Amino acid sequence: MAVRSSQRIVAANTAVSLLAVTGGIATAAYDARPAMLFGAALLGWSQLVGL
Amino acid sequence: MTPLGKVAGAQRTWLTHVIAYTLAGALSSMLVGGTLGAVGGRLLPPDAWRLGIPAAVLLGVLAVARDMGWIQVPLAQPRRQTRDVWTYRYGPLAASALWGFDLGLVVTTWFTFAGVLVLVASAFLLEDVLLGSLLLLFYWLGRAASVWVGPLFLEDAGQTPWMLDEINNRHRTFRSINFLGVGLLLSALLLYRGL
Repeated sequence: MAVRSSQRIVAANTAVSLLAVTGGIATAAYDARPAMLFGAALLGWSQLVGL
Repeated sequence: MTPLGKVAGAQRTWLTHVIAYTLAGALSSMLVGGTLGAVGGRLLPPDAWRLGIPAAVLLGVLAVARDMGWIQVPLAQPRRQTRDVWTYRYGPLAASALWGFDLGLVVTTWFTFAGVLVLVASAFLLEDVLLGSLLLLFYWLGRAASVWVGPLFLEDAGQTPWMLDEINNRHRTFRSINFLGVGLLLSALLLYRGL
């Protein structure tokens, strides 16, 4: 049970990081502002450690 | 709030609390971001970003080096956290909103990582109320997202202490994500200013 939960945390971290970095890079070519927002969201997510 | 999401019949209560938490945090983070952008726009001289952006990059490098444990630098930050007692004093719904509002203010509670200072500096250097608001709003949405997905990490409400331990044991992973966030934010800031 704990293993499955642990895998979900890993999956969520991977998904959020990939989404933010991919989104940031994809939009930066046109406009840097959305990339900043993706970076800010990733910073926010990393605060999960203090949940 | 998270355990409520796994208690049969309490999902609606959980949802109400998390919505209150998220909305209150969105409001306060936008207020702080907008204020930083407005103050930056009012105080900074023209072309201040030419010095400001390299200073933000330096701050980012120092923040990451500190978080990685490479350097020992005391961090100017408030030594407080949100108050558990609010739930007994004001009830769980109001407490959820207060926790969200407090955490959304960003600078009133203990920083998990120093990278958050780069966020604050960026909002100030952007000299733009709307962009400053959006920057801190997205930071908040990233932060609040963990509360929304928290119940998905659990098989049942009894696992909450385990989940908190598991998350704290993954400190290095979250530190790396924070590093990635600082890098992405600063790269985009440099790109935005055409540096």
